[in-house]
Amino acid sequence: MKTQTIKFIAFIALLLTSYAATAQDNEIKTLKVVNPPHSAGIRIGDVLERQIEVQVSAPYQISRQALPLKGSVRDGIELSDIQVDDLKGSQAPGYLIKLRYRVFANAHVPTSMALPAEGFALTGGAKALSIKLPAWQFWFSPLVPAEIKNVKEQLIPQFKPTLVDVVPHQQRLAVLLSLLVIGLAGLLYINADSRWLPFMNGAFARAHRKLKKLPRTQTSEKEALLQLHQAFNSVNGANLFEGDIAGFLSKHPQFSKLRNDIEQFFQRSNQALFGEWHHDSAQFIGELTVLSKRLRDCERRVS
Amino acid sequence: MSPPLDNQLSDWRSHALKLENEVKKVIVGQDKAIRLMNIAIFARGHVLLEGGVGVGKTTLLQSIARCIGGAYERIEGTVDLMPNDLIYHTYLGEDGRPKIDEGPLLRAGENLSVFFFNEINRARPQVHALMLRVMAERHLHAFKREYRLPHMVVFADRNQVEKNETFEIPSAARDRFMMEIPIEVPEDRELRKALMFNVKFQHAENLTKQVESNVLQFDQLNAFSDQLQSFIKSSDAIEEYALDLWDATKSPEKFGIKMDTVDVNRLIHTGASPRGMGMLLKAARVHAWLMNRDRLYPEDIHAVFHELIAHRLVFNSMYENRRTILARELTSHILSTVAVPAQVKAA
Repeated sequence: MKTQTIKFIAFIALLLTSYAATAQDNEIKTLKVVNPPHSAGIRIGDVLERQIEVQVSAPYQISRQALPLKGSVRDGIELSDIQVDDLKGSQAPGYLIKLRYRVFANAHVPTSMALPAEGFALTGGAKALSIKLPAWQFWFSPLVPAEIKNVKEQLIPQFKPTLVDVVPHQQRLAVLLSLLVIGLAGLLYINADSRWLPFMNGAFARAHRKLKKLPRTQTSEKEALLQLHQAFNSVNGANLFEGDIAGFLSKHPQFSKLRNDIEQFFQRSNQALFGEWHHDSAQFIGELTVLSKRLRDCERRVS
Repeated sequence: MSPPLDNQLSDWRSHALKLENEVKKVIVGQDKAIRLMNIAIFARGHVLLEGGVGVGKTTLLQSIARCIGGAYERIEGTVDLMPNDLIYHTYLGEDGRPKIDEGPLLRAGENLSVFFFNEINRARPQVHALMLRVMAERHLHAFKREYRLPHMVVFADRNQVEKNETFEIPSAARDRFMMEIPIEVPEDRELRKALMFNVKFQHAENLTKQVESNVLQFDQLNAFSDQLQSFIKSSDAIEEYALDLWDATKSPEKFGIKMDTVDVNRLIHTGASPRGMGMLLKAARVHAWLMNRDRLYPEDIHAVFHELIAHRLVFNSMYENRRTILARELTSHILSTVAVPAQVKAA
């Protein structure tokens, strides 16, 4: 009988407790709890923040005098800041409570710790109600291994980042840049009527190349004269005749040192092409080849 | 027995050069024109003179006529000039009866060496027709007989400044003239100063008298000219070159000739005539002889090319009013573009 009485009393107490809890739930409505994003790898000195949004029924309101004490340390966790703001945009009174903790605990091995549970008392009503924020578990990680004696031995070398192999890229870049440079040079060369490079393709250089290849026979003599006349015409920009030599040399003074040779060339050319001139063709073509070489050197301004 | 040809050539050359020097004593700044007229005399060609008023054309002609020897006649081109005026003129004699005398063309007969037709383009085309026929044939039928004018060279001047009451000489008529020689005011400042201030230039008649007369034997010029033409030889290369020049007067675009203000493809209506090219070579041979050569060089052709070819070109009508400038520009381009030797012919 006594046992039954005790069980009955316990049942009633439990029932009342349950009712009280239900009554508190009705007065306080927890909207959101935001905990730190990581629950592992926390180290000494780390700052952890959590916040809770609640709505309370009127006439209850948070008691700002009974807030957890800023600077209080519990199990090595310091409450470094607390901030209570009213929730905006809701009809019933609501609060946004921001808590900032700093970890000052230390351990040599990974240890389970917790941000402490907090209670925020409500006033203004008949009941003694409070907002409960449960504890939040996290794993504390030590900065150094346990029982460390020589730090230098314990140092773990940092891994070098894996380098991207740039050699193939550099090679490709070099090849493409070379092609670009060659292409631009080619364009310039073509645009300059193939005479951009001073040592290439000058009129007398072309004539000299052709004269060197000519057989030293009488039939080639006219061809040799033709090549040299064409070179003179090309440099002069118009046909050049014996009477125009002075004007030509004043326009192209680089050939002035060969004035006598040029005059002699035109006289001999007239004799060979338009007159009767008995001579040794092989020797004449040889002399023309030498003259073309000297004219080429003048053209290149190297003599 | 006539002297050897070499001696004749040498003697005549010295006479020709003396003629130039004599004329240069009284005509300054016209060396090129004098040389060209000398060439025309020995090539037996008629000459058209182009130039402004008062540049000394008449004095130049009178001086040359004096050197050549023979008779010199002159007529002024006017709008009312008729062909008959060249052949005869009528007048009343002392006895009151009408009389007829020979005109300027016939007056001197075979002794006529220089006939100057001043301002030929003022005369009517009928006069041109007679004159051009006489130039070509060198004889005329009048007074029931044949008048021969074998030694006559015509120098005509055309007024290019005024256009009123003038009759442009058609291209076929221009072609009869061997050369058209420009007579321009000398560019040299000292020469122009001398022309202004030196009193000796004020009396053209006195000036002409300073020139030695009869330097040449006018009645032997025809025969010598034939000998001279046969004496000067031309190579294949120069003949090819002359042919290229001829083609270039007809189709300059084929030789890559370009002119700044003209579409060359549409410029030419008719190029040089075969007679013109024949005269070109004739004059070039005289130049070669004057340069003491027996062979034609390109320079000989160049020396007479402008004056032989420019007045023979016929342009399309849109360019005809600029013919004097364009013709000289084109001939310059032809000489500077057509190459010699242009190519090597297979042997």
